[in-house]
Amino acid sequence: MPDSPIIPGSNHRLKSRLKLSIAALLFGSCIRVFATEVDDIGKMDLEQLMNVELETVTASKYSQKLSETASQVTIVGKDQIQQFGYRTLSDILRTVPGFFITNDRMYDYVGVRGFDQSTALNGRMLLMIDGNRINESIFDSGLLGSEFPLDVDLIDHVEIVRGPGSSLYGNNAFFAVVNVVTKDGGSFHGGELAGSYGSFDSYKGRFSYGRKQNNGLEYLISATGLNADGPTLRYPEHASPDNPAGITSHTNDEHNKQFFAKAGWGNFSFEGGYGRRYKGLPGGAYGTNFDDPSNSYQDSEAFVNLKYQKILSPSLAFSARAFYGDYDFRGFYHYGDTISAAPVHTWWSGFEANFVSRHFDNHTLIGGIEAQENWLQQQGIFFDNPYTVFSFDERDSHRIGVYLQDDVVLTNQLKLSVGARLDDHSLLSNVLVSPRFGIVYNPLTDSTVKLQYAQAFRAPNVVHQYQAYPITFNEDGTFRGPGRLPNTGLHAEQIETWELSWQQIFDHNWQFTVTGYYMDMSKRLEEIQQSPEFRQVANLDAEIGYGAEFELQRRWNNGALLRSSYSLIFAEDMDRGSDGYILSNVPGHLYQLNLMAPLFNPQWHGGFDMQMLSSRNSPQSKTPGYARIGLNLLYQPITNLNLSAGVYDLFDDNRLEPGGIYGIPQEGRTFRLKFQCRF
Amino acid sequence: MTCVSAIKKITVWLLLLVLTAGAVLADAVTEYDLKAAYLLNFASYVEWPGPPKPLAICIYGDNPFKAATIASLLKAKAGQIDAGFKYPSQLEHLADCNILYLAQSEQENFGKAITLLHNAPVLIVTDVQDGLPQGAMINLITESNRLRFEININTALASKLKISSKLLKLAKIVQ
Repeated sequence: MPDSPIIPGSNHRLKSRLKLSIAALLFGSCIRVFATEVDDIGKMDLEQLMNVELETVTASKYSQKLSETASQVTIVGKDQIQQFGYRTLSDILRTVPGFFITNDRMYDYVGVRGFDQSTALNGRMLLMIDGNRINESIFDSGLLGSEFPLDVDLIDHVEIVRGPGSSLYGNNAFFAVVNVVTKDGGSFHGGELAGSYGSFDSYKGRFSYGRKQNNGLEYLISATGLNADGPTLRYPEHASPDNPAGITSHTNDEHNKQFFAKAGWGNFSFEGGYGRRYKGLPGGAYGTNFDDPSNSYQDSEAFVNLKYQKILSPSLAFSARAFYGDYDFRGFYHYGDTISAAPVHTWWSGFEANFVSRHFDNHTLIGGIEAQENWLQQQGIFFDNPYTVFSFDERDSHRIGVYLQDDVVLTNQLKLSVGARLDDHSLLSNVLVSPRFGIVYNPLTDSTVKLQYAQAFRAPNVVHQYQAYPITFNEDGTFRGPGRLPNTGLHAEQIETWELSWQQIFDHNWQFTVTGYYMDMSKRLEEIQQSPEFRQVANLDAEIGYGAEFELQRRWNNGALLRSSYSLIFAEDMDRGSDGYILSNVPGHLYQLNLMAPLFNPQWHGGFDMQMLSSRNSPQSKTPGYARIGLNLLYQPITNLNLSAGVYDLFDDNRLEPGGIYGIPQEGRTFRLKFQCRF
Repeated sequence: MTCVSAIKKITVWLLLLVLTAGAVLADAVTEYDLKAAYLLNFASYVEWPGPPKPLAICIYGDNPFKAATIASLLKAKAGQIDAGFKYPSQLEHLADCNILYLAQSEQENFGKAITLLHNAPVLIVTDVQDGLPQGAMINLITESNRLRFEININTALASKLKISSKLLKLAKIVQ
């Protein structure tokens, strides 16, 4: 059941924590979090050098250098998370080339290469924490905003692979793969306390403790709490004589809890986490009473991953893992005097085993098997007064996938990657094949050309297939709303993607990349009006997307960083006429700039990030473009204390997102003050 | 606010930010910067026979290291390690080296180089797969995003090098 707001209490707790932490500062040593410099490594001895981190990507199931993957990969590290003041995973993703974030006052959704995922609930993207799937097994949704079950402070880096990933990961790796890699216990050296205060009375506190012992045991435990009052919002469509402006306040509050634990010893590692967000539902969504604080919903997700890794011989590595996940959703909606509850619960477990072999000269072979049993997939909608089961479905299912990939070094200049995955889902009639083919060619030392072709899929989820409810009537017997029919004959939606990119390093430090892509989707899943009385999810015809992304990057010796990108985006719906049709709410242009640098002296760091999105049109609405700017200032007065102040959407420009009649109001300009200390 | 006026403000902010950044900007660390630092640091853990003289660290094959990195590393270690980097192009000159890095481009000539240097006091380092079975003493490897190294204890002992136990402690020992 919903928490009650306890804001005054949190405020008090925060103050006492601050005092405690200042006392703690007198002890302990500082851990530098900023990028290593060439001058730094000159002064290091071998032991220290062995702790310098290299940038590699593991979203390809084995650790691979960025320049050697045929995919387009962006890595956002903890130094950026801290210096740009990112508060959520969405804040991180909105800086990735071709990505943009929308919010419907319920969840954050990421648009990828023009395709907004608000109806797919981010199910066209695979979201993982340390290689473990976070997309749950009812909606296949990926929780990204404050609903993401992990505190962003615990993120070491995020690997974002643009383009399909089904050849290794199967379901949902459709537009992109996002792998969130957590910090190791050893990077903490003891306790860490963080607290922040932000707009709309948001208080957040975190305590973490981690270390690496001499016997090799490494562990981390962490707990986070958040309470926020939420903004006052204006919905013109809900204007009434009592509320002429359609204002709602105190209906968008949020109360979160997050726990995370991780341990590693020898070849074994364990991690588990739990996140719960209770949130008020503003804006009369789903036709609920407007400005009624009793409309609410709550998402909880738990995940456990137990892993064993062993290097069997110099050319053979083996790893196996067992995983468990649980997702629970509770929605309470008030329609007049009637209350509707929409509980959803699912839990699953499974295992994965794979090997990486370098037995054959110039070949890196990776093969594996992954199986998941969804023990419970339960969805329902109930009404009280009188009690009615409006919709209910309960079942279980399983899926199994096998994959094989060969990365071949043909010559010093030419590398090839060929792979495929077969997936069998118990609720689908046919086996899904996801092939992938990639070439990495280095014509000159500083130039890389990459070509990739891949197929990926998103299987229909149990809501697509089995959600059903009757037609509704008003009290006078007139038609109120359509019912919904199940569709057990649905096929997975599929995508074919071509990507061609050219990366050039010039003047040793500047990295310029241009990527062209073409995506062809077929059998896409969409809810349609099947008849005047009923709605149903169906497989529709093709959508295509194509465009180009231009990126410029540089990292400086002193930790300064520039990431800048421009995306030109086209998306067409082939279903609405033979000449194609421009899809709704696709931004044609996206420009992103991220710049961080030390200021004045090494104690001060500044971060500037900007996303400019062009206008989005649909037959119903025109959403203006925006320039959204974030500024964050980080100050380390003493070695183990960080203070930061950030402002988000500085010019209050990102005010509306598409949806409803007048658009969905956004938070606009917000700020956050934060401290973090180690002891 | 319109996009155009936002851009104007952004430009002003950007300028301010860039101006205040005003620090000396140089290269960030790459994998090969780190490998160069390893090569130089190995010198502190090994004793060569004969009278002390400036050590020759040789790069044989396509040079993957940036000149600026090498200069910066040598400068930083100037008081502690007396060494210079050399880039011999002929196999015969390899015996004059103290530390020899065999670049990936010379993988085909590994056998020749190693036969030539059989039991000579040259610390042979490389960073390829199967570097040790091919006769190198130290192989640089990447493990969990960090650079590590493995030592072939047999070839290392067979040469006339005195390798400090501290180095062996840090290494992955391969028999």
